[in-house]
Amino acid sequence: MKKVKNIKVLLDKYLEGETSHTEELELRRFFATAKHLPEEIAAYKPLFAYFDKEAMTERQPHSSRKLYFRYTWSAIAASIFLFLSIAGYTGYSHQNKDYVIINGEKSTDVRLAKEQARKAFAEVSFSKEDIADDLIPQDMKETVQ
Amino acid sequence: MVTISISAQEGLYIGDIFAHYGKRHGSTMVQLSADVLKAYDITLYKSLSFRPDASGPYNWTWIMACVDQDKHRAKKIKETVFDGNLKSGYYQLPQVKKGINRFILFKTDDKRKRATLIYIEGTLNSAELVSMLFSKK
Repeated sequence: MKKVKNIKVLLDKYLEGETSHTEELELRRFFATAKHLPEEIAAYKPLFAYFDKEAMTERQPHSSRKLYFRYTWSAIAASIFLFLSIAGYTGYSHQNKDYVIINGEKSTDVRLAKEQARKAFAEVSFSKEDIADDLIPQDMKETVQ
Repeated sequence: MVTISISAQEGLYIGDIFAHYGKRHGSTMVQLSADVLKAYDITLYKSLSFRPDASGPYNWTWIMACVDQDKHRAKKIKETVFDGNLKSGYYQLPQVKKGINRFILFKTDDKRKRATLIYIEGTLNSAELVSMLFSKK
């Protein structure tokens, strides 16, 4: 329980970009090994699992033949990327666009994205203490046509 | 200042803020589409929680200038200002697509030296948005 509390503190620090390298390692280790995660932090697991997967990918030495194929495929991939980029500019830009970027790391996990969206929305919301008679102007209360 | 014409916030200066701060350390940027937000009558949601630079070309002054530029196009404006500084702003922009309303929400947090910027597009109206804003804190 204490551990989870500590992880929540670290997550808050992480979201504000204030964690040290050691603290980020602790977060990764925690999410990699934890079996049962509380609901409120479970959404972060895919984000850290992704980092781990990336970190574990080892580079293998390549033969010149392999390199030749790699360059060929790179050229094809670049062409496809260029085509998709152009398609994106001409009207497909709204497709497949649910994501969250935390500290420069992109995740397409919708649950995590929704969680962070909720958080941001709460930050701009009013509390009862904020409410004064003049806070919301009449025109904001009107229905817009 | 250059506006981003291919982004969701087409022609808006806040697009520059999303572009500059969205992928930085200490920032959280979210984009959700209608597929996820059908229930809220929102077709596009984009938020950015970030720590503005204290100095340099992209500091608070630059951010405020971007928000201010878009504010001038807004048809509905609500701001909270303290000591001459903008604390929060709620702006409804003119429609670019019939029936789709556009909103910018902006709030600063002096204690944490952070800011939150939200752009919303959808069929929801300002009354519905305000009601959501009241219920989320």
